[in-house]
Parts: sequence; structure tokens; C-alpha cells
Amino acid sequence: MLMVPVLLILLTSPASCIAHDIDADVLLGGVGIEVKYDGGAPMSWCDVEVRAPGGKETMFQEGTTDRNGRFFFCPDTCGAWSIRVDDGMGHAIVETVELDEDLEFVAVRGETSGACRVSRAIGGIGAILGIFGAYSLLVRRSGTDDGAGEE
Amino acid sequence: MHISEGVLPGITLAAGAAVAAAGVGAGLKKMDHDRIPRTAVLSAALFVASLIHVPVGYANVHLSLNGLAGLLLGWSAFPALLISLFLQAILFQYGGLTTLGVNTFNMALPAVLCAALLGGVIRKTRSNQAILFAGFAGGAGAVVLSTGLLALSLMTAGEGFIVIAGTVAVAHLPVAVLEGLVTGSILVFLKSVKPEALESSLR
Repeated sequence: MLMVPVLLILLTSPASCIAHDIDADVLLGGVGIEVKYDGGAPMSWCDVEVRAPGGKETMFQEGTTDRNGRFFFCPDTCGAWSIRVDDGMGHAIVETVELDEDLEFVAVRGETSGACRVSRAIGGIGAILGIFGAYSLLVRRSGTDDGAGEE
Repeated sequence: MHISEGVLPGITLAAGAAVAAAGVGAGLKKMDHDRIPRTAVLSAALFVASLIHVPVGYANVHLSLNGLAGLLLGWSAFPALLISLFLQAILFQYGGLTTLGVNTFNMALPAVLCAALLGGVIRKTRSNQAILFAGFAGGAGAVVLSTGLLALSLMTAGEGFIVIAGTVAVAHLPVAVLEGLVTGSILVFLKSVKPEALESSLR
């Protein structure tokens, strides 16, 4: 009979309440990113890595985008935050978000705009032609040298 | 059709790099001076093809044109794909530098196999229908084989990637059909405007 009031006291004591209590606050805001493929389809449920300012090794948060290709996090320091989104099928994008000392948004240093992609594509084609052009010169020169050596 | 950084174990990366290097070496050996411009143009086409996305459900895949590269370049498809995949990795974050060897091997070996199987038909036949069919088989077959190699590569990363491998395989089936049609059409066009391009290819 003595056990019943003892159990009641233990179960209703403040200590037991504090030990299992969880407080939750609703936060609004933060920094968000929305990623889409070229055709406009969202990159849904893709892996996200957020790295804090101060070095690429400083992992801050990992997660996944939602069904609309969006991801939000709450930065706690100023500087350049790196956000990498990877769909696991070989497509990834890295955006760098700059925040000032008040944690206000300053700039984004990503390369996602269509114009930037076109310029990179043109640059890539130029690089390919340049690489094979240089190789062509190399082959021709070595062939000439061989020919000269034979003579 | 790329594998990202940080997915595959080191042994798979090393093996992929080794066999890709051997393939590139063979391709460079067979690529004489007159074939360099063609290889450069095909490499540029492969690079641009990766930017043409095909939405398949929640997945997003893109053209690879490795079958066309194999049928027109033979072993030289290896260096062509290596250069295009390298630039895709550094300019668009497609795939990665550590996975460059595996990705090159996964795409170039099917290209060479399709060229070996279908090259004779494309070189000798005068029928546009036969060329269209062979081109379709080469384009689609290369994608299917590449998808199989990609799935095998992912399976070496552990059981957790088996589901992803299956998703990748299913997502690329429509791409295989599309690539077959594109490859067949290009070969028929080349046959009509520059038939010597087909006759001198596939070495």
C-alpha cells in the first residue's frame, strides 16, 4: 500500500517532468534554396550538404530537399555558406550564399543562371577544340620529327 | 549517366581508372592525324548532349550519344568521352573527377562493343533501312549496356545503392529508345550527304 503514493509522487514530481519534457519554438525565416533541372522540374528529395563559413570541412547540416526541390536552414554566423545539392544520379550543384554580420542576405555566388550555363557550354566546346587542336599539333610535330630523323 | 563523387569504394575507382586509361591509350593509338578533327567534333557533341535533359518521372536523365560515338569513332570514343566527361565534371558538376575513370569506362566500352557488333553492317550495306536499324540498335544498345555497367558499379558501393541502381536502369529505358532514334537518323543523314564518313569509321 505504501508503494502507491510513492509512485504517484515520483511520476508527478517536477524532476520527472523536466527529464522528459521537450520545448518547441516555431521559427520563421532562415536561408532557403530552390533547385530545379533545366526543364523546370524540381530536384525533389535530393541530398543536401550545408557547410558553414571557415572551411569546406565544416559540415553544418545534412538533409534532403522537399518535393518542390526546396531546402531551408538557419545560419548562426556571418560569411559564405556553401550549399551542395546532389540527386545521386550524377547531377549536383553548389551555391554559395553570403551573409553579413546581422545574418542578412548579401549575395549568392552560385552559377545556376541559364546565361551562365550557356557561356560555360561554349567555353567547354572551345576547350575541347583546343585540346584536340593541341594534340593534333603534337602528333604532326612528332611525325615531322620522326620523318626528319629517318632522313 | 554519371556517378557522383564519394559514392564508390576506392577499389572500384582504381579499377575504373586503370581500364579507362588502357582504353584511352588504345584510342589514341588508333586515332591518326586525319581522325582528330572528327574525334574533336564528336567529343563536343557528347559534351553538349549532356545538357539536353529528358524528364522521366522524378528522375532527370540526359542524352549521352555514346553509341553514335562508338559507331563513328571506334576505339577513339574513349578519349572523346574522357575529355567530354572531364569538362562536364568541372563545368557542370556532372559526375566527378575521382569517378572520371569509372564513368569513362561505363560509357566508352559499350560504345566500342556496339561498333564491333554493328560496324560491318553500317559499312557495307546500301540500304537506308538497314542503317537506320543498325543505328537504332547501336544507340539504344550502348545506353542499355552503359546503364548495366553503371548499376554494377553502384552495387559495389553496397546494398544501399541497389535501389538507386534499379531506378537508374528504369529511368534510362526511354532514353535508350530516344538515343536509338537519334543515332539511326544521324547515320542515315551521314550516309546520304557524306557516305565516306561511315566507310572510314569504325576502326
